[in-house]
Amino acid sequence: MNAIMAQFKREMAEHKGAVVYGPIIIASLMALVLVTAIVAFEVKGKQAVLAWNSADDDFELILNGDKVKAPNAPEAPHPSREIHLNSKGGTTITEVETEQNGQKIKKIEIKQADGTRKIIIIPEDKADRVNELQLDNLKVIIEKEAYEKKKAALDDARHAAKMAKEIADTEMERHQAEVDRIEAHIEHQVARELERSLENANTELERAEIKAQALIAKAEAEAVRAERREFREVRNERKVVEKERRGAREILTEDDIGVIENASLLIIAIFAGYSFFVGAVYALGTLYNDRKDRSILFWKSMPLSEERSIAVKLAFALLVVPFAALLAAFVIQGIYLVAAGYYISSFTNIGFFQVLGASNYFGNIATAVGYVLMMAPWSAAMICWLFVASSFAKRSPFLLAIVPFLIIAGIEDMLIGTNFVRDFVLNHIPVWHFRGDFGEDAVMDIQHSFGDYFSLDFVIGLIITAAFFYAAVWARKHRFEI
Amino acid sequence: MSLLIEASNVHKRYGDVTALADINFNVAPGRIVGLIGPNGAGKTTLLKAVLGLANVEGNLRVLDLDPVEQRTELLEQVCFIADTAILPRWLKVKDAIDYVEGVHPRFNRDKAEQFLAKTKIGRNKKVSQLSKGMITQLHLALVMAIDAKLLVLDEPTLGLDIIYRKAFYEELLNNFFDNDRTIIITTHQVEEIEHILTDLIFIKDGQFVLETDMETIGERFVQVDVNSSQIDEARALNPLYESSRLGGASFIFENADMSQLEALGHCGIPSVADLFIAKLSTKGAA
Repeated sequence: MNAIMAQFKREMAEHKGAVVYGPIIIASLMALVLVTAIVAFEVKGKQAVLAWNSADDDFELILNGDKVKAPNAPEAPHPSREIHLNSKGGTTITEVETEQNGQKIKKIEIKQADGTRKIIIIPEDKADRVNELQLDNLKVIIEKEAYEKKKAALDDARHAAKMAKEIADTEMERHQAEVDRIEAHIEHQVARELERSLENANTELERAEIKAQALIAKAEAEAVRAERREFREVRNERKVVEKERRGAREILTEDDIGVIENASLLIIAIFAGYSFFVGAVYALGTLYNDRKDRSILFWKSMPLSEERSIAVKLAFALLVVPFAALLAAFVIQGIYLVAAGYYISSFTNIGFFQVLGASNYFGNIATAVGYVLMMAPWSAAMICWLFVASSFAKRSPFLLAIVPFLIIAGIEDMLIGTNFVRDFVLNHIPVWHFRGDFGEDAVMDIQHSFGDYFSLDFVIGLIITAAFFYAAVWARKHRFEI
Repeated sequence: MSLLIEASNVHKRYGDVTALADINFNVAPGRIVGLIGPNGAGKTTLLKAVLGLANVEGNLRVLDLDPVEQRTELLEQVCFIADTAILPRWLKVKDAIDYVEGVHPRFNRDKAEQFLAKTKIGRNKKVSQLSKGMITQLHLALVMAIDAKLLVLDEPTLGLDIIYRKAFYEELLNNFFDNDRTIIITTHQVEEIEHILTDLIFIKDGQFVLETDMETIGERFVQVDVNSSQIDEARALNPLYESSRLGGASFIFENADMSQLEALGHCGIPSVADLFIAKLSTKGAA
């Protein structure tokens, strides 16, 4: 096996977690979100999961529940009013129209002659149904009143009997007993009859009431269902209109492509940020950790020069770490494009491959690869500085890496009032420059992000890189003991 | 090749402390040299100088190379185990083998596998999962599979139990050592390496107190067990060292007249451990 490959393999073995598993985990989480969105999109009947913002025709990966608004309520409710429907025979039915919880309702109060009250509340739009019920009620009431008339007749009969008794008193004292007996008999009969009639009337009334309530409940349920049906219809109508409007689209707009590009850029940016972080942590630790765990003497027992070992580590930080992250980014970009293509093509006339074609996937890969390669000479100074901190530090490479710059930049700012050191340092930190677009001319963009390769800044950076590199080599040779 | 290590006027100083004071010595091929000294005597500094891990003044050539300037070439011929615990904990056994195979042109993978086959070390284990003894076995397997001219062992068996220590030195003798190769060992457990050494160096305060091969020890040093009655006679012969023993004392003499000593009591060759104490605790009498 090639010796340099063995050295890279050794770096990889030590940092597999951050360099390989980290990007895989991030990519897996992203893929999970995308797959979940698509599955939810399917489960919900291709609606409103991946939200298409109709305002600017963007589609966004948002898990966006069902947000269609309910149709508007009809008109404002009437002021309250009362209607006395009936006042015959002592039974009163009072209707009040009012508003409760923002809903128009009708309150019906049935007051009976004996003082019992019954209140029924119904939504206003079921009034017709209630009118029918009121008719039923009236029938019952009329029947009851018929019984009462009969009772009145019986009262008259009793009165007549009393009169007869008076006549009998005056005319036929001796018939008194018989008259009494007859009278008692009549009274008994009348009472029984009356009682039975009243009982019947009450039972009838109760039954009617139960029936009326059942009918009202049924009517209410019916009304609620009708309202829901209507609500759904209105919503679907809006959807159909929306879908027709979109369906007319057959070509991706500039905006659509921009959105796809932005999503691709975001994915690259996430992985680039991650690889910057991993690269920095790696550079800060790699020449310190082996001294700390004393394995440096094992590495030093191998016939490898320090120059070569550090050069391999530099290449690992500048190339292997970012390319490992980019590989994951490319995979997840592909998954994103498939999801976006599937999504867009499922409710527009834009084809799946049209979306893929518009995405410039391979162009983006080429740009990102070029970006990493062109970024390397710019950020080498930073990595080598971290190597210096790593190889010289006795306790904390991190503080050794940060504090000198804070002090120097602070002194410069205070005494001279310029920020040359700060700007120079920031210029050589790759993450600061990840603002470039994935345009047509990637090289131009990259140069634009970093600066000119023929600039003084760049040349100074290279000189400093070499100085830091040899400083780290020197420390590895002569100051490797903690 | 004539000499493996040639050193003349090798000097090393850390601030005010002199670690090596103008040392001169040569090591020929096919030797097993025990470098023995108390803590801080300069053993490790000397080994570091030989391995090119430290700069020294004076003239030092190892395999006719400058150890610091030509370190990479040197390390193709020189192996070392500096301490038992220096294999990194995250390293997997098979990755370690792959790595050494990749970077070391003189590494023989089959040899390493043969050695590991005799142990219980799993190829997929990480160093952190191995016992201290196993780590040493692994390290030794890696080093012994390298066809090197010089093997430097700095306290290789520190922290190991007696079984591993014995096995370690057995492996060393049986599988590594031959007439072309040289081993330099430092250890505190002198008695355990005594029988395998061909040469002995005592070092104290950066200077060699004794440099001899094992065969001449018997000619140069005599240990005499003297009864209490003859102690004064023995003391008169200017002994190197005296230690009390049951019913008398034990004396070590250097370059003394054998006929005189035989009259005092039983004569024998002192052990390296006794000799070590004798030479290093001398109060300037010798």
